Amino acid sequence: MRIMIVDDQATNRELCRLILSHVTSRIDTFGSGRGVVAAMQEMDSLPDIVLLDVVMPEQNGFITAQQIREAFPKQHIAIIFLTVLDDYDSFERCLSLGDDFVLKPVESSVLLAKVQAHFRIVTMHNEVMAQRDELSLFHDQVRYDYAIAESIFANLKDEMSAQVKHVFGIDYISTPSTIFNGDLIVVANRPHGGVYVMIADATGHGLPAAISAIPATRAFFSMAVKGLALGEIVTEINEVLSRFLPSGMMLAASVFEIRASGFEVSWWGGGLPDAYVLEADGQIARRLESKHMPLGVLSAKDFEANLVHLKLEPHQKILAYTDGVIEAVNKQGERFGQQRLEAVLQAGKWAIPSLYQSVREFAHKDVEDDLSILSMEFPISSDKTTNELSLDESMSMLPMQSSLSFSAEVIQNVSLMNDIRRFLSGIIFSGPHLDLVCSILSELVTNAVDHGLLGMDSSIKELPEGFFLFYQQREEKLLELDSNAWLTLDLDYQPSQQLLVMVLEHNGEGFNYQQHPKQTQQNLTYGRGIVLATELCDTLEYSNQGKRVTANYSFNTQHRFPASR
Amino acid sequence: MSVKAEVDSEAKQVTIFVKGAFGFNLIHEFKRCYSDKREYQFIIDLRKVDYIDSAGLGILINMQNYLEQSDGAIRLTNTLPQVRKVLAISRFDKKFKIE
Repeated sequence: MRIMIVDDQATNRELCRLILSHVTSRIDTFGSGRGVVAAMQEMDSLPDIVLLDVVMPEQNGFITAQQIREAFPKQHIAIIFLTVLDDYDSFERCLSLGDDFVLKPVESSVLLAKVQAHFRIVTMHNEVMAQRDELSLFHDQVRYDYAIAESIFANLKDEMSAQVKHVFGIDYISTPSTIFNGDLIVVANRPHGGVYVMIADATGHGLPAAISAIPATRAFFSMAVKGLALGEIVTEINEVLSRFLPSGMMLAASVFEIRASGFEVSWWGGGLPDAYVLEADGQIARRLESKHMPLGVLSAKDFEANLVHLKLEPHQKILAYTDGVIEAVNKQGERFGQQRLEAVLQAGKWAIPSLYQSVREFAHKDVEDDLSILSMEFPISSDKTTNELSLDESMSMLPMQSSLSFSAEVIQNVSLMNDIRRFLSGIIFSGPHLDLVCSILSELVTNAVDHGLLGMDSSIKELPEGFFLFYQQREEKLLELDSNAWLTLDLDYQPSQQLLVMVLEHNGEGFNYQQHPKQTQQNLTYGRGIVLATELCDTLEYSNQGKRVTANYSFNTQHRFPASR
Repeated sequence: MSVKAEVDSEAKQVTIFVKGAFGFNLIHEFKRCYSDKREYQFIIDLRKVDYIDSAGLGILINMQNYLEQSDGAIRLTNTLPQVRKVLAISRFDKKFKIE
């Protein structure tokens, strides 16, 4: 406690100092009111309490008190007057300009009690002020954090819904109880046609729930691009979530994989309320009861990814929702519940707007939890083919010529196509063209090695077990390969013409290409290779007695891919 | 492992998953999945196959010959467009059900 004593009489100053010395850490004394404010402004820290004599010759206590208040309007400094005046008028002035007064001659117990009481008020006041400042700082910080988070989620949401636009038959609604949504509905195209769909509900609501949904979304999309099986996708999401989420947080989810046909569905369900398969008129054909724990709960070894497979009829629907729907509460405290939901569905109000309205009309106030509904009417179709990679993204823009040559030792010991593919991926980075070029080169390299250099005869394959015999012989012959044997591959890549020319040559026996059958014979287990390579290339020509083959592959042929069915 | 099989002995169904390049290097691994399972139904999941050559096609034909199942009994699922293209050129839709 810091105290300041202002009194023109030295005996009074000393008396007060004596009374208070054992409860204070510092006492400053002044003999006059004049100059007190200036002295206070020089102090490291202000006094908590000022004892102020009212009657002083140079400047009285009331004026001094006023000056102190004006100089430090934001600080709470308790001013206690010491006075001999005992009229009511003086008391009133004391209390309006200061906080309290003590009559002279000063009684030690009264002074001590008042000083201590005021010190408690000062302490409390300072604490409240500090907390107020802290709180308002915190409030600003939270507002800022929310604004940032909100814009991140808005971007995420745009990205998530980007793929839905291209899918027909899917409709959904997702309304958060706060600005952040712990519910999640995401749709991604399958590279083989068809789509993946996930509806999920993270524990709780608001920001924590929304944040826990992010790793799941990321995992979902990155797995979807790879076209992985549904079982693998849910296993991965579970993995990711159990790694990221604190215990107690989890994600109830239903994940669907819909095949290119638009009718065949695989489903994994963990923790969401029963979904329905509905007939065209809303009658319930089947309940999809979740068989698993929510994602993010079980460790990888306990997690089960067994699926339910369904085949739907035209105009049948799957309806899935989060528990915000059946947990909506009315005035009487009753829940909307599954029975009411089923009644609404069977009354034909299965479409999302009317279903949502039924829930809102039932609930007496705004729904307390996040609420989402997903409806899929079959067949589900997607107008987005994933082959729309623009050429400059998936291929090098630089023209390139390269010559590769393989010695007998390399041919014997290296799995050629693996490394050729790796080499090619420096020209064509990824995508269907890389795969088709590999198919072609695989044919040509196999032919050159098996028939040209090793002298294998494919008709062995006609014998029972001949297919295996062939490859067994191939291995034996490969070990005895002439050490002078070689194979070369020249590549000429011309991006401006969207052309790749591949020339493969060897020093073995030439391929009798004139005699080669032009059409695939149906039941033969061999002789398919060259037909295949020819079809995939723009031109394929043999020369140098069948020891050299030149293949032209063009990248700009749209009709390469049969339409997704 | 580039070839993985899931056997459902109750439904008498085998699903074979193939990964990477589908060529002659898989011949033995692949055969192990179907030998002595003539009474089973087969689904071959090609979603992770990036390219297939005629040896890969040969492996499939050879499997069909061995199993002596009718045309279309063996199902090839989740084919990427580039794989489907190769299958189409070789008229594999006559022997297999391509989904």
